[in-house]
Amino acid sequence: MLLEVRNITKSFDGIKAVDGVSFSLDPSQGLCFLIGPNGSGKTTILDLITGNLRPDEGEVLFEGYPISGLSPYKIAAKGVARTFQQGRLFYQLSLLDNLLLAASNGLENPRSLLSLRWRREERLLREKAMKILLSLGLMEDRGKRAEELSFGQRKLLEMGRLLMQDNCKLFLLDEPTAGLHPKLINRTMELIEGLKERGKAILIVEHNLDVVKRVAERIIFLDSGKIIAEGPAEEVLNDPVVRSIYLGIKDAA
Amino acid sequence: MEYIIFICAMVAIYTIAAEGLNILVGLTGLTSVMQAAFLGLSAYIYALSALKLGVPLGPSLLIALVGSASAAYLLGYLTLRVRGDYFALITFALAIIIYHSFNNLISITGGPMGVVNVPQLLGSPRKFLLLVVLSAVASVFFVRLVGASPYGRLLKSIREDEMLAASLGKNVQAVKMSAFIISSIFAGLAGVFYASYVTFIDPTSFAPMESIIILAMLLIGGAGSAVGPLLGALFLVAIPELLRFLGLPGNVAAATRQLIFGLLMTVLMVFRPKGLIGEYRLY
Repeated sequence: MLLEVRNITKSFDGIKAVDGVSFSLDPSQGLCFLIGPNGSGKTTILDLITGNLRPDEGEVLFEGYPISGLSPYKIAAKGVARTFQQGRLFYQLSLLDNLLLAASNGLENPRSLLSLRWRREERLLREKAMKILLSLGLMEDRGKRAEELSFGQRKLLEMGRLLMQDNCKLFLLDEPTAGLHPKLINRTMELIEGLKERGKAILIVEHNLDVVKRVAERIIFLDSGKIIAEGPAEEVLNDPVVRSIYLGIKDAA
Repeated sequence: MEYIIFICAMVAIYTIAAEGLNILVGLTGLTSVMQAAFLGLSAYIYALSALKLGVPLGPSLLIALVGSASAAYLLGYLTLRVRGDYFALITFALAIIIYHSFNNLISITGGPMGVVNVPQLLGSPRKFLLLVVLSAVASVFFVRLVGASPYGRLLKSIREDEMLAASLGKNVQAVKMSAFIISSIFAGLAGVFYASYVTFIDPTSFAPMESIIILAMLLIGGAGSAVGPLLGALFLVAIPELLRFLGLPGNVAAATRQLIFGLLMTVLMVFRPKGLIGEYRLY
């Protein structure tokens, strides 16, 4: 298993946001969605995996090694990529720089100043970033600052950043389609499918049920910090408890 | 003529200090208010190692730079855990502590009497002036180089969003430390040049207010841009000197300097919040 979450618990001021959650994730399981009502602990789980939060109990294993307690940058360097719920970019930097920063090229240190060869050594990286910008339709804006983009373009750029993170094995996406119009949702899902085809393990927090129904292969359903149901998408979506909590549908007894 | 040369040298020295601070404040987004303290540390180390230990001037310069960098490493270890305004406050507190140490460690620093007869690098004033001006020009180009490099991109990413940078695998603490050390080496060079040029050092040259003035050079010239600190240094070194020609009595002149300084900051804050040519809005 690439990722194993074992019995993690996290409380804020005595309230359990995540309560004894265990699951595992592997690329072979396909697109895995983490769904549940607002405040059910979905983002907290992502934060616990990426090291932005430390679990009170339990542990997270990545490629068999415990990663709970490591700093976020160390976990990221092991191959965990993520996006944030509100969307995060380096807003004052150019689109191109935003993508280049996603790749670790070994040149980002003061020593590279002495060699003066970074332009040549970065050429491949730049080409890759350009290709991604081209495929996202953002090529012409590459020199613009990220803050100048529209909301949809910003979301796309965040996807582009994930595409730059080739070396990552696990992708944690926090509401990648929130606030997007249907065409852009499709485009986003295409890009995510592309990541899956490259053998990446993907965990998506998502509220858009249409998207979930359409593409989810596996679903983990969360309520009040606990896993209520987990398994193949169809099974979970037809689970009477899930239907009642999430969709407000009471099945006739 | 002597006088104009003096002003040129001072502009050059403060440009070096402000460019160093630019790497920390303009590129990395860490507002440090203790640049003058690093100037002082290295100035004292240089003067004392040359005068008291009899170390040749070249090695004394190196010792001063290493001393400044080591101090940055130690202080960075303590201060870089906190962010934003807290970092500014802690560095300002350190600037005050270091200033009072200069004043009170009389057996080492000579206290308020300072250290006199500091030997001048290169011996000849002309050669020395050339060295200082060339170093200042080099510091401008160095910041320009850093700004365009992958390393500069990394620094800016931390300025923009530490959490995002960490999520991309960047060791934020280590990067901040590297910027803090580089910045202190610039300050160290400026400090040695200052001691070497003026040949007399006392704590007032490295008082907390001086740290604020170096930061103000950055704000006025423009943080993040390579030429900004040079403009800022020109402004803040030259204007007080020009005031001398107004023929005001000493105490009035000092107050007028503060007045103009404050006015300038306020006007800039309203009309050019990024400084004259800056790329990054600090406040």
